[in-house]
Amino acid sequence: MPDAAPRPSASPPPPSEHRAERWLDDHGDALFRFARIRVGGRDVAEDLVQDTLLAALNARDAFAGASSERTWLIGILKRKVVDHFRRQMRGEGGDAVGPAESASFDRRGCWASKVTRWSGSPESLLRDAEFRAAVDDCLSGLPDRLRAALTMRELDETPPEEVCKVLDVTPTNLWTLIHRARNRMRECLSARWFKEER
Amino acid sequence: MRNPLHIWRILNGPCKDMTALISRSMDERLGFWERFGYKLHLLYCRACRRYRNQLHTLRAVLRGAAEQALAQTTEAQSEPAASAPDAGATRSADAGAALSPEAKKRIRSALKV
Repeated sequence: MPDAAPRPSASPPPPSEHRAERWLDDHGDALFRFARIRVGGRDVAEDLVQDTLLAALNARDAFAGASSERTWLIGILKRKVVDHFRRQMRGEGGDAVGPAESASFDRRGCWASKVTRWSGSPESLLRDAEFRAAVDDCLSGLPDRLRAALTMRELDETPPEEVCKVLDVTPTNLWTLIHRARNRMRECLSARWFKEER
Repeated sequence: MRNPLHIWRILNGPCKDMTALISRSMDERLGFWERFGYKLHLLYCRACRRYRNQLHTLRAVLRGAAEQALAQTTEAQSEPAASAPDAGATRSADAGAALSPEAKKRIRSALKV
């Protein structure tokens, strides 16, 4: 092993605020998108980005073993998002299942309209910016609680028990929330993109 | 052991009930009869088969969109030629995908404190 002489530091470590500004420039938008997909509104997402960068500034152990700067910041943001969900859900009844079911089925439980085949692979669909915008709009249009349940399970793969704790719901309610969230997304995308009722 | 009436209900449930099972099956392992019931239903119900496929596509595009959003760098707003014809639409569609200049300014000052 070659003798690794310590490299003389080029300059004193940059002041904190420069570090944070660099984080904002390099990762601000990515953090914003991460938050927005989960919380829906721009304002909340912006606040969460700000909170994350402030928390990162004050963090004792920078990086904490994360593979990259962005991964580390996302880790902090993830916790902030969960805290936001927890705060938001407080005060709502645990049994609140929300408004009536969608009109996809008739009184007997049979399909009320034709279920079409969605054309296009996920990869090809995602290459289209208009489609991505449709997904974005449909997600933002979900009620907060439904979006929280859906994103925690589908995107973050948070264990169901943990999601139940954060949202303060029973496991049965959780499946109902996710089921409704999926149905709404499905109907929204069918109407906006796949034009189901052609 | 499930009672026969319950099993009967599962095997003869309407599509509405089946879709609930299909959705739940994507997140947890269902019981034997529930699994059997909806898989049997899918064999002969095209509508529910399509529903199942739609849910899987939905999962894939949600995850794909999230991954894309994360991987994108701040400068990379340009898209590959695939969506070149509506470049204007591309820009506006991605407009919501970044911090507004005002927000950046606000956060910047908050960080200086």
